[in-house]
Amino acid sequence: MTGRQRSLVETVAQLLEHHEREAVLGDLAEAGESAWQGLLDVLGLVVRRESAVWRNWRPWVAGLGLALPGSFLLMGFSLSVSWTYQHFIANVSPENGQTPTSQLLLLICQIFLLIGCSWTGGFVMGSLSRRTLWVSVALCCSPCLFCLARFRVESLPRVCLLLFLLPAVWGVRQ
Amino acid sequence: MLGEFEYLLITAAAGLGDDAYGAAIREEIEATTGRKCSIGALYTTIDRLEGKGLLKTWMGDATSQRGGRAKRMVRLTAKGVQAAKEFYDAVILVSRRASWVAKRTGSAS
Repeated sequence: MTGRQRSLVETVAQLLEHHEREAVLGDLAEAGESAWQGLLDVLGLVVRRESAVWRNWRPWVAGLGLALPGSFLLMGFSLSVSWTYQHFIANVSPENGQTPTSQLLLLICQIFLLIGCSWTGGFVMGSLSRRTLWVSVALCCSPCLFCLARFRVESLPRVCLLLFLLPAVWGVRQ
Repeated sequence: MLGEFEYLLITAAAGLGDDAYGAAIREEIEATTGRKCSIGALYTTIDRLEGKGLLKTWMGDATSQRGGRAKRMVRLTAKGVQAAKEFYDAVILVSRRASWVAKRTGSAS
């Protein structure tokens, strides 16, 4: 194996867990296998590992049951919070600076609810299946990109759709 | 009951004793059966057997022959020995009237 071929095999082996990567790369070095055979061996193991993970119900629930519909719901919720904030700002009297208490309360409640729902969604998604987190993240991001591309509300910036992302990421990292 | 490949792996590991680790088991299986043994099949089976409590694995020493990488050592548990023995007994028992076994026994006697 040349240096470049070895680094290619090692790069693919990054998809394996640390101990397994050590053992597999050591076995390949010991057996003196060709780069192509080594690559096939590592890829074969990666595919087997991934398919074993997907035989469980957890990654399916995390991805299709939570991330995909959850991102649509939370985008709608983020938009709702943004509108409440916009109404609140518009109703603040410019002369005396008086704030409409009911709207302020509504805004605070919505913000806390959005943070709570997003954090919980992220936490449950991360807890259900950490090994397939990248798939869940992709399933969460694809509706976001779809909606961002079609967002046509002039009074609100596009980023309003993504208010849920920060607490969701915080939840995933717990 | 063990599967065919599980039995091969356990038997190879038992034969290698303290020197049983991934590459050695793979070499033993390939040399004995004449069939290619993929790393994927080997390690997923090792994990499955460890999950069933038939094997115990741990990370061993790194050697220069392996590019400084550690070995995944394998040792049979008592439960693993029992499962392999049961599989072997079943194969012997079920094969006793098969034509190829009868021929072999006949030629031997």
